[in-house]
Amino acid sequence: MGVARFKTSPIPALTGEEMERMYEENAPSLLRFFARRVSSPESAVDLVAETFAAGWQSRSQARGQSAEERRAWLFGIARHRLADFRRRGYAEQSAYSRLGLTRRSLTIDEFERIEQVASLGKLSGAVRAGFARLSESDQEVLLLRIVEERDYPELAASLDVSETAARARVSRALARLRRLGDYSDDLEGLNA
Amino acid sequence: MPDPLLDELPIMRELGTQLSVAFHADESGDSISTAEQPRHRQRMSLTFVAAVAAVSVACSLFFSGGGRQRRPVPNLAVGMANVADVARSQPDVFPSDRQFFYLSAVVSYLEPIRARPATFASVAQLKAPKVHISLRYETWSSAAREGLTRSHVIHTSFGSASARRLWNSERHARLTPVAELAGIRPPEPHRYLLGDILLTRAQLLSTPPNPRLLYRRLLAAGGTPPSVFSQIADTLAARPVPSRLRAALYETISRVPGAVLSEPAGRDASTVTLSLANGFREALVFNRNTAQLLKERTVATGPQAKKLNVPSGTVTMSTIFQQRGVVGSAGQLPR
Repeated sequence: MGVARFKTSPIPALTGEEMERMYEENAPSLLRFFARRVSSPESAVDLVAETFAAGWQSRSQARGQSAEERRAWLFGIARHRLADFRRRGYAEQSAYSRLGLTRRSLTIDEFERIEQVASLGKLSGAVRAGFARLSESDQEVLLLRIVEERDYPELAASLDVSETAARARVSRALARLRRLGDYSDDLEGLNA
Repeated sequence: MPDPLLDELPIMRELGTQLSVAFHADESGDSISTAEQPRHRQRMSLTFVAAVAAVSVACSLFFSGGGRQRRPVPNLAVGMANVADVARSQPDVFPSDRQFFYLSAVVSYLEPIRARPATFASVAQLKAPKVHISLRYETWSSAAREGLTRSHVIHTSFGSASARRLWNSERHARLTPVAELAGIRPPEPHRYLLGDILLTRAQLLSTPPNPRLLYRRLLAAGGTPPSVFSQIADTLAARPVPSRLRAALYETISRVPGAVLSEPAGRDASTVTLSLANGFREALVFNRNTAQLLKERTVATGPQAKKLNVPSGTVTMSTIFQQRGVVGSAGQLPR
């Protein structure tokens, strides 16, 4: 991974067509990513839009040429946007606006569907209570692994760490969750 | 396998389409944004601009051997002759009378919210808050058979929150999100349009590709030099034309008084603009390597922008051409 990151040969900037493909492949995951982390479906959609618009503006800095590497790059931008959202309390729309775009409001059906996507339906009430007491970083890895059912290579790409480090982080987060209560039925088979 | 969430949420599809349109527009130097420059740039102080310009000049002197180099801007006649050469070398995409000419494009236009489309009739309508509408349309036209048009609204944007509120209160009666219009008849059976001139297939195919004669014929049909420009634009944009005539039309552009060519460094697209006396500026953007018209746009400047109550440089209409081809039936897509 480290070698790929510090390659000296220039990688051509992403084209509009490549960005379109990235949208098709990654927009649903990004929507889930944001919907589960922010309270408002409107903000989740704004953050998806802002992530792609910001990605377009920094397309010359996109790392790697494989779909996985580009996904990791995109999720890196998404995490920055999320941190920014938490700091400001609203979804910044500067990159999106700079493209001259605004969007319509969500319909009630869309609103409800995104709320559904955001729910931690797979987890029992007890696990949810324990989950809420974990740190933001532990919540993050468990959301990816348990709720979004990412496999480890994908999880590693999303967190921008090695696969070994991703396994270790899930393992530690699960251990901390177990210390908060007995969730053995819910967490069966999820050990790193 | 595509994620079903995209299709379950229309907003995500719309978002994808509008981002895609913006990426492609941005990529080729165009923008469907309401102003040509981001606002923060407009606020830059002159001192800062001068400093940046000085550094740029210094850098270009020191580093002129590498990186992107600024192309020397050719004059209009030379630029158009080069594009004409490319057009001439390409195969004809010309339908028979019973075939269909297919065109797909994304059109964006500015519309006063309280007026009907394209009727800037009164001062009140001119000053009214505007909505910027983008729609994708496809047309199938034939010289002998009934054609078809499909359109799909992909985006609406507003300059202010009050304009959006006004639109929301009126939109139900104004915009059909998806429309299909069948049974479109040709202006006259077995006739083709070259600008505003109706010709039979034989007449069109035998029209001499002579820019001087073409200019005179188009001027006679339209009455003014700017009308020659718009007739050429219409023909290159949306009508079937044999390659050698398309080449001659590019050369004819250079005969229109006031037309100016620009070729941004590092891009394959060139732009020809014509400033009209009424304050609108018409622009044609084409690919130098394929001799295809990529975009057409109208920009309101100076007094015209003031009259419309929009910032100078606002794009009032823009068309991005996506695909052209010949097919056997209406509704069929080219391969």
